[in-house]
Amino acid sequence: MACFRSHVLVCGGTGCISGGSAQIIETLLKNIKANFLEKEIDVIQTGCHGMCEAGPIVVIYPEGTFYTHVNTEDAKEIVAEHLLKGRIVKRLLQKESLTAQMVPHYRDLPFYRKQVRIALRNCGYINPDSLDEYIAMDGYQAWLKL
Amino acid sequence: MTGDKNNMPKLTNPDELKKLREMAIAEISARHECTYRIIIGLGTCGIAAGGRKIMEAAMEEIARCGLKDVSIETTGCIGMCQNEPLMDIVRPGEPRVTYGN
Repeated sequence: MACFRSHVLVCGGTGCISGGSAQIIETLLKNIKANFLEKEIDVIQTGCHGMCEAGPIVVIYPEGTFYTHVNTEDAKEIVAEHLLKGRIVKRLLQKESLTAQMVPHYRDLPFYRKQVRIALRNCGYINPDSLDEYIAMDGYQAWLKL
Repeated sequence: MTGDKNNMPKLTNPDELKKLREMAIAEISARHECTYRIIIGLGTCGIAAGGRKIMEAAMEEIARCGLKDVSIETTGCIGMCQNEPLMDIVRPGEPRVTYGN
């Protein structure tokens, strides 16, 4: 089992892919390797977050930082500033984050705080191709009741 | 990049599912809101004193023990440079404990 101190979640929804999120993943991986951070940082492609007008979207945990309209140059800066030095790249923050005193966690953003997600609760949080991640979020638990 | 999990063996009993769930929760614990926090000093002084090695050791130990409620965070210089590498542990209900050197 590997422990990563930080997870970088890049949206792989249709809108963000057409906005170039696959290239963002490539750039992130390349720069993470170049900065010798590959043992600490994991890059995950998630499903759609729902805020497609803000894409491509990158969310960094554990801080819950919500970066929007990210391009490959921005991805380089995210690695150099946020991942390596711990400095949040303010200009890439989603606009609701900027008005708050402290940069809010993803789950506290007004857009998401008001939503109660049921069927879509894992969207943007897990890699939809990973059965392990689905099981971590209580996937297949109904089988235990049989 | 993790997540290429298409070679999963068949689960034949509920205990295997439970075990897999525990392991999987631990793997994605960085995304959850964790009860326990480890904070490593990685400002210029922290990096120079070898804070990254301390962080890697902490990550390895967490992986070895399969802990799922601990998050590892980094911080900048807190001013006590002569005692770097510094590692803080925050447990709920307790004051923050700082370990130096």
